[in-house]
Amino acid sequence: MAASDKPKPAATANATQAAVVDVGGFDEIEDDVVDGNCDEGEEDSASEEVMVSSGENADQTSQILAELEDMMMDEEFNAKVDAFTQRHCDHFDEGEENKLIYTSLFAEYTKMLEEYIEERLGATLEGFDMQAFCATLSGRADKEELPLALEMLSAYGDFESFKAMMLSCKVGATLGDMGVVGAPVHVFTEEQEDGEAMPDLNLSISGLGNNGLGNN
Amino acid sequence: MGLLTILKKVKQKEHEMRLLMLGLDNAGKTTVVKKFNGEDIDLISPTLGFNIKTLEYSGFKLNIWDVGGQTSLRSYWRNYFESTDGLIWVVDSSDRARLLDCKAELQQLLQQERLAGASLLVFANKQDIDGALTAEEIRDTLELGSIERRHWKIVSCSAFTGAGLVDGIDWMVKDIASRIFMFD
Repeated sequence: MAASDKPKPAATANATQAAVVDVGGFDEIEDDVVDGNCDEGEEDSASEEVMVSSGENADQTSQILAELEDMMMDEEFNAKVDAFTQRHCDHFDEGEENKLIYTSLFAEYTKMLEEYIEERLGATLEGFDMQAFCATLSGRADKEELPLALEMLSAYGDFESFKAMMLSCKVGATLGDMGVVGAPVHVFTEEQEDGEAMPDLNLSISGLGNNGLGNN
Repeated sequence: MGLLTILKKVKQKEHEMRLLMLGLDNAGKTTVVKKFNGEDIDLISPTLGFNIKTLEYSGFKLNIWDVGGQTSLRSYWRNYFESTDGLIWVVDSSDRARLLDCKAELQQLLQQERLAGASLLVFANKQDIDGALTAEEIRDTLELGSIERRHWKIVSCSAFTGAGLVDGIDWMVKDIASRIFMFD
């Protein structure tokens, strides 16, 4: 009803482009595709949906993945992460118990990255729709393995990794221009099947500039 | 829910469960976790922030979030609701004076939308103390019988001796598994 009057950027773009794009790869891509559009596209006629989704959506997914990979490698993104860690790492202390502020900082960090990602993908990929992409992800089958880019990205959403990065940034900051830090950590008994039990090493290397790099 | 949270959730599907452990201060939440995990429980001070314990239990990876229970910290509990599969509510069964306080806090939690899908395990803790209320008495005072549309169970335990801990966690894990991992 009302929705059909509104312009629907993602769905419409899909429709026009996909009509041209190959319909041949239908079988292999069918599954990650169907849920992708259900958010917005439900009111489109079923035939259009089916015909359209195959080629186009899979194609956009691979563009998104490639773009995310590039993003994680590039300086702007990493500078953003570094700036955040350096600004807040002082709040973090070694020790088992976490302060409540870690949670609010983690929420802030996650939000910052999510906004950055959305902005960046929106700028580089025409018709990118974060909500639709998120819906595709939530609809994935349990057993499927995540593509590498998403596997890497998921580490940014992990609290324990975040805490480890903050702590290593704090240690790195006290070392000046360059240093290597090692700290013994908990030995997991299951790992001792053969050989002697040794503590693991958590290495963090701080860079040459005044950038303390996290170990992530 | 943003992209990173969703990704984290997608990854968690593989045999992981997130358990949130709450209750009034001095209920014994941290002691329950440590004892269950086989750690020393001699020197546990009040939790002012939160602890995360990851452990394996019967093929599942349990992420247990144990958040401090002091009055001033309770307004922060909501920051930990997201993605919770099971809520473990720990009660000091010897603390008759605060049982109504305990009931009120639990009732509030059970109304939270983000906890709507979570199974509830109530630990009637400190059964080693003389004069502790029984699990039945606590069940009645907390009016657990009136809970609808939620799987729940009350188990008496002593985090000090360890009695009852496995029973409780075992129920919780099986209950969540039967809801979430139906295909295994």
